[in-house]
Amino acid sequence: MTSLYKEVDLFGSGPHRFVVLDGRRRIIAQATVSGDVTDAGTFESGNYELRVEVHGRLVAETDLALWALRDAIVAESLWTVDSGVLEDHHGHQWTGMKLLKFEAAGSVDRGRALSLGYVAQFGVLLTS
Amino acid sequence: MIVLRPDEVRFGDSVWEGVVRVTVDRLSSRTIDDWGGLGSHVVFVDVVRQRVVIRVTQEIDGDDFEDPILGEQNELSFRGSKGSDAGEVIVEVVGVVDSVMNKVSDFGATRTITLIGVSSDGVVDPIEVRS
Repeated sequence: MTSLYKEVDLFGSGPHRFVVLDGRRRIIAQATVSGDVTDAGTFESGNYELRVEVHGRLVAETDLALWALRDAIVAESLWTVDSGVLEDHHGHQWTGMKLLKFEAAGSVDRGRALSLGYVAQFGVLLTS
Repeated sequence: MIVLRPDEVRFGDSVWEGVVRVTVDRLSSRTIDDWGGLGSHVVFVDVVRQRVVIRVTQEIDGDDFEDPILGEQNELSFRGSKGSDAGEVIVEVVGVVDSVMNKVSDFGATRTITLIGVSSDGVVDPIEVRS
């Protein structure tokens, strides 16, 4: 089974895995808010929003094809693009996900195929 | 590639005498292996950095003061044969001397020169074989 974002197979050219980052409450130091370093204590300030990362490798036969794969993903990171449903290989879905960043893991690797490791981070934002 | 007792082994302007064998090894300097989200087995493997290592072994009959210089880059060429009917094969490679190792025993002395093959552009195989 393939993974999908907005029903499009963005990552299927190569191997990839889903990583759900820790969801937890946000704890803030009182001194951070007051600006007084002698101000002791911390307080709760809601929860961190959900973050899901895709760790993988784009694989193509040509530079042009590899750029096309990369560009298709990066296009989803623009702030004007709507959120959508992210679905892993096993059918698990996360709704309201936006692509927050796409980071290439170094340069293009040139062997039998051209490939590029990456981490793509999705998240749910209150504004999306 | 293994060539036993090749003819006329040259490195630049030098002729290396008494060569008993030349071997060409191909080694991965970086192999990528990657896993998907479905199971435990590797689903993608590729060699994205590789190295061609040439070892030239000479029998040394007497005193010898002609060690190659480490880091020297030149064209290595030697002649071999694919069989009595197949005719001569010429192998050429631009290589850099990486090590020079001597072995001496009661039965004689040998010197093994190790070179790293250099590609002209990173795509072309450093080893060229001509018939």
